[in-house]
Amino acid sequence: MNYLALIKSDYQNITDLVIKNLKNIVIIYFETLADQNKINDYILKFTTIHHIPKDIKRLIPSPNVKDITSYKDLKLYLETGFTIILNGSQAIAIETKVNVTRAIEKPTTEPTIFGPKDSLTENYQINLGLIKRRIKSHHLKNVNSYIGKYSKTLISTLYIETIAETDLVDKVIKKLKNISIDGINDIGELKQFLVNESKNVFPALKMTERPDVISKALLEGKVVILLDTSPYALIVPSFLVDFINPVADDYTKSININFLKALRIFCFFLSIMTPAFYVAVTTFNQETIPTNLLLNFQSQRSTVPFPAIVECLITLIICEILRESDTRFPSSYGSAISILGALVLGDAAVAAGIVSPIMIIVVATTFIASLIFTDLEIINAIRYWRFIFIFICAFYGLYGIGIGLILLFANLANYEVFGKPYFYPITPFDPTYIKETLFKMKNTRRSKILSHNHFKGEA
Amino acid sequence: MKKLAIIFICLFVTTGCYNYHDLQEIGIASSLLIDYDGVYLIQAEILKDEDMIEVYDGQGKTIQDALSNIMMGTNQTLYYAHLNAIIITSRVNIKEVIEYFMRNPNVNNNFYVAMTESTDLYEKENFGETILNILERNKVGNFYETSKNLYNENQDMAIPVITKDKKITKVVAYHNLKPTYYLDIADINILKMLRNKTGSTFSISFQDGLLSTTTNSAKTKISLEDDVIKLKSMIEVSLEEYSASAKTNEEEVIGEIEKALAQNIKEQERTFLDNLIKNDTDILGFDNLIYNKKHNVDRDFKTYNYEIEVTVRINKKGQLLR
Repeated sequence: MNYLALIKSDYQNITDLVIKNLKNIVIIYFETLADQNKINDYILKFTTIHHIPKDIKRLIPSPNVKDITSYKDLKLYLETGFTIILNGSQAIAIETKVNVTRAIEKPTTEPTIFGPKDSLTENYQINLGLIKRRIKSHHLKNVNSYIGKYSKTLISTLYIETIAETDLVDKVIKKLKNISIDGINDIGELKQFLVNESKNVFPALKMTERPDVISKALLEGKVVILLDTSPYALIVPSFLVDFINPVADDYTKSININFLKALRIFCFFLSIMTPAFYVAVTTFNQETIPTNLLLNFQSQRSTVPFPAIVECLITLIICEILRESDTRFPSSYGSAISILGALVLGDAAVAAGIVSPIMIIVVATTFIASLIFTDLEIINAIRYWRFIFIFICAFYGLYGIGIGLILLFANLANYEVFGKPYFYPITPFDPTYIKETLFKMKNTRRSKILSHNHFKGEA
Repeated sequence: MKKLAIIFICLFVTTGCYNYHDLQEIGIASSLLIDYDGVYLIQAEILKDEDMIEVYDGQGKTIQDALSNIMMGTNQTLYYAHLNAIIITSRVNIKEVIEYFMRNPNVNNNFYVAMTESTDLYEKENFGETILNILERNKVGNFYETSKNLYNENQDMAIPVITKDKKITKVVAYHNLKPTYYLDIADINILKMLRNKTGSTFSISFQDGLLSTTTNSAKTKISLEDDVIKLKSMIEVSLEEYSASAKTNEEEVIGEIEKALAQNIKEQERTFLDNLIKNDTDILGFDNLIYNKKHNVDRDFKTYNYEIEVTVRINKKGQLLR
């Protein structure tokens, strides 16, 4: 097959493609993707010899040299930074990728006080290396494929063959293979192809940038998906408790961390129900408030012209706008937004009689409680349910809290991710996984739902 | 989607928000003073601030009429959930009042019912809260307990009488829903003790001086044996005041004090019982005991004999002995 002619035809009007004829060989590479030094060291040096043999593979000192068997392979190698050498009928690809990645940095979205400080980068090789440093076993397998018709992004499915369930692994690989897409920029885009996200507002798959979280998930029997160009990995399957409890809990004394874990569960409900509770008790169930406090509420609310629900919605929406702008804006402007927000909400809104001071306390409590969770997706889900609870309580009072909780639990208990119950380990109840997530306790077993290999550390 | 639509229709259409009250629209009543003079005359003490009250009044043929007239003309509705006390005069039919508030779903059960002889109780401060504190301190039964007694055919009820200067100097006992007997301070002391409540004070002359005690614990067992109702009280008291010359660090003296106190309490108890019998008022539930034991409603408590036994023990810890 005349590869050169095909390349010349397919890669017209591409300025960074370099085709060099040196003696009887042709060297082809993209100057933007290939490292010039590597090309010098691996290829150009041997071209100085008098006679280039028919088989040039043994002359090349590169550790990664591939034989090309088809034009499709050639294109893939060429577009991923390999240098192609055509020597008569022989075609080989030499790995000369330019290092266009940043250094390993501290995790930004999942920071911890104790524990490892490294995080994934946009380079798949580095990410895989970070994981393999933690799991040094030939049982750690990775199945690679390319995704995206144009982007041809490398995607890798990682699992430990002796722990993970084969069904789950097959299901993940099958779903990844069936994805038809032009291109992909980040692993977050993959989620919509793996699970039906419109079914539930709670995040189905956990995204993490921490190699220690990935390593823990793999050892539990979960499957991890890595994508080249993305500094995050996807953990399949994920449960609600995984989003509430960070991995840093494992690095702290259990008696102390169990209090914090209980506090987190409390905060989960607090951030969902506080504004709804405020609406309920100020409009329907005033009998639940101590008399003196009720009188305070009454005098504070006397200047506000709106019903409690409208006041609540105004404050929450202002806070959501503030949070969104704070997230999107460059960090150097962040403090300005915070000051402006604090002024607008904390003082001016109260002084103008738009909201009452107690409403500010309610909203502040709600937002502080929701900030306990580092995962943005879970914060979004909490926000969704917060508004549902507010609307129900605006019609039913405290009775609405009960209705809302029934709906919430029914919704969570009804949700499945890759055939695994999302509300696990509460329903179905499993003390093994509770010891790993909801509370930190000594645990020698693996969760039955994730692995048939029940005992940890057993050969 | 259908399920969601049904939920939303139920949520928005079938609910009427019937008990929706915005905070500005409720007049929080701290206490109600109910009088009857051909029509019901009700004064409501409405809280405006922690330290400020306003008194509204209304009248009507029924309690409901009078209550709805109270806040008429204002932008607020009367809100009873934080009610501290209902004060009635002797002219009011207590049954009607209690039944009205039992039927009202917006009323809590923790407020107190008291009686008064004055109709100008309200001044500037929160009178309802003051009454609540006084009655809580005196361990008087709340609305729930009062209403329970109302429907107990074999027991009469007693409610405290509040004076204009915010004191309880009497308790009125009801028989057949009519005030029959006013208990004085000595009777209240004994009643408290017989109801196993602490804080009764007993003062007696002892040798060449006086002594005064307060009960720390009181346990009275009322039982029926043959034709005799036995009241057996075990009381533990603290010696609060002592002016006799005999030394209290001697066991014999303590024994004598205990005997003298027991005798005094026994006499007071006997007088108290005689008064109850004379006024046909069974606030201790003797008829209840007779009914439960003998299943006989023909004989009432007045026809039985009474045997009183009082044992007093002085709590000697502290200053009494070396």
